Amino acid sequence: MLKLKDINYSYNKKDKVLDCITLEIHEGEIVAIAGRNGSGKTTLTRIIMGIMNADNGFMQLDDNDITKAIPADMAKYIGYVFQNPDRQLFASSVFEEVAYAPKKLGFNGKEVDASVKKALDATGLTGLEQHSPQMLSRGLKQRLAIASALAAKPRILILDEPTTGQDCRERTILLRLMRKFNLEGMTIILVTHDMDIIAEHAHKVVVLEKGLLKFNGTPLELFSNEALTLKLGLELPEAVHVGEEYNLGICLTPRELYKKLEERNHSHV
Amino acid sequence: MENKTAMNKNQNEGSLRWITITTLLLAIGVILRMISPSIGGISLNWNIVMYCLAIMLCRPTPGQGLGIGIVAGLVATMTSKAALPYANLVSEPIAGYLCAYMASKRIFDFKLVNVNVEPAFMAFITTIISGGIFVTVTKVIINLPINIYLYAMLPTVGIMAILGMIVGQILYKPANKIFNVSNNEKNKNKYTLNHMNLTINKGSFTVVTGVNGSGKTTLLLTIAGARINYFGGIKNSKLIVNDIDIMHTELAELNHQVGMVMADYEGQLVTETVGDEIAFSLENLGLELNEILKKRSQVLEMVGLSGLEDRLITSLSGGQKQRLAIATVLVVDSSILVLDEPIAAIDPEGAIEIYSLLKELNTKYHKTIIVAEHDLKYISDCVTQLIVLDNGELKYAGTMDECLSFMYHSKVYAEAIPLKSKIYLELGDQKC
Repeated sequence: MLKLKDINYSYNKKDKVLDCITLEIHEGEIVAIAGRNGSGKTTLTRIIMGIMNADNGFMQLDDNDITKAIPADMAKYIGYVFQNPDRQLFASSVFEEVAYAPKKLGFNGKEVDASVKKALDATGLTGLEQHSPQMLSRGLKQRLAIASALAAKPRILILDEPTTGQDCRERTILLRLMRKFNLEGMTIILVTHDMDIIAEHAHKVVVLEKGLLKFNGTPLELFSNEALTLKLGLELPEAVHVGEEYNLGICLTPRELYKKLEERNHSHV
Repeated sequence: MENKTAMNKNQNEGSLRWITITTLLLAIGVILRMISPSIGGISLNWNIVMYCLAIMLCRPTPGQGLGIGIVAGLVATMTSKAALPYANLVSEPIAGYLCAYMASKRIFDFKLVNVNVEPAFMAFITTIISGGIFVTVTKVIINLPINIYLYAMLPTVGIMAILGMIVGQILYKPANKIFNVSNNEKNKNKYTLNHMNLTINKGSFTVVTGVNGSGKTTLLLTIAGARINYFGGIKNSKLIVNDIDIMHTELAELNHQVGMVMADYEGQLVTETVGDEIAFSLENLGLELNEILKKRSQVLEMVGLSGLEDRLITSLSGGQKQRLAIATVLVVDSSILVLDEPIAAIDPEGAIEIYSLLKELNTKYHKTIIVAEHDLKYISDCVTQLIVLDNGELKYAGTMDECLSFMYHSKVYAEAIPLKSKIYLELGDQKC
């Protein structure tokens, strides 16, 4: 379990970016972090990963104090996928890119090969081992960034706006992958602006506003409260909108919406 | 997946590729010219054939063709055994320029009995131009008798042109395989926008959708005057935007008429403060200070950023940065505004703001707006024309309802249809 207590972060000791964030993320959860641009979402995930250090506060992973941990320490536990994969990919081949973390973590040759193979299989990149990462499409780059994070066999995967710049097809593939990793037991921390993704996939949603934690609950709790959703700069998911239009009550996902529509059609018959 | 990789590879190849290929082929040409036999005083002019091949492989601009011709002329002058080698300095640049012009317009890009005969035509005509000018200059300067010019020199040029035609046709295919491995005809079509017959009316709001790689950005760049000719450009297409025939208008004129906000709009912002950013565009136009200040405050009001002149750009939200990028292109009086996925990294509130701003620019200020977009749920209030592209081709252009219906029934990027519209389409007449 990942615990954050009273995490503060500010630029130049005056512009507060995160203000007393206290949060618990449980094993196997998909936790979405939402909020306006500039609300502190990415900063929070970077602090969890050790890329940035909080001004004060306390962080714990299981029983270990990780408040002052650096990314190299955290890489064993957490995989981080940046919003723009171009800023993350640096190796000359797909294989080298994915093998980097396991090599750095001291895996032996066989283990490196095995973890690279597993990560590439999981992300559907098998066969592209010798390709240059820079020559891949945006969608494949994003999947490669995920594969690189997976190769270190983390328990937690942080995805920072993974669907930005992706078309609807690639978006579906990425979300399916995320779901699969979660079903295999991985905890997912997902930063996103996409309310449909939150409604459909997240177990819990955390909303930040100007560095303050303004909401921590289930998607149903959030989206049932339209006024709060809008006040936090968010919007209702499409399924909720359409469900209201058809007087079907709260439908978080298209699947629920279709199910309720079908039930109503049957009852009319 | 492999195609996608190849496509990206093409996209990332360097802009100096044409120089590399031309230099290599010219060097090969010099060697071949020195070692090839001369039969009855006539030998193939390898120089011309080689730069002609290089031009067909790389499709440089006529200006770049002129550069190739000058280098070829210098090489020929140094290696030629002709009576007046310096005539090459006149003949080759002109031939290089015209060859590149013909290649860029693809004048001879057609098939005879299922064989593309462009290499033969290009090599023949370029040799005739170069040889013709060469012998004419030689005749005039050395003052050779007209009979030698007419009955010896010109026929020699003709024979060399026929030889060049044969060799050019034979060599083009293997050369294309070697140098354009990933840029062959098959992949080129992936890049080429094809059958793009599109009219975008003055004052309309057009949204272009399609999977990544379908040609949205290529279309927008073409409209904005950054035409991509490198991979063969746009074929069989007619693009009319605001009564401007895009394919037949100078790029500089398009740059003036069309303002573009790229997908990575932050890369477009180059100064520290909001005020400087707007002033930067106007200073480049050479406007007076008073004029700059007046236009700046007008445009900031248009995009809702009034009073933020002194704000650091880094302190703006994503939506505000996007609005600033829009302001920088509006301020130079562009009548057409082109935006590539303007809300991709923006929060929902910002996304709604951006689209209401674009709607206002469209209705109140009569700007023609063209947007590439995946997320179609925000556009229903403003769009007048929705276009779907697939594989470089325009599949449908019409009202939003018509286009979504086409996408749904033809399964062309149906994943992008907003849930609400999808249910309407599925339920048909059973709407509530």
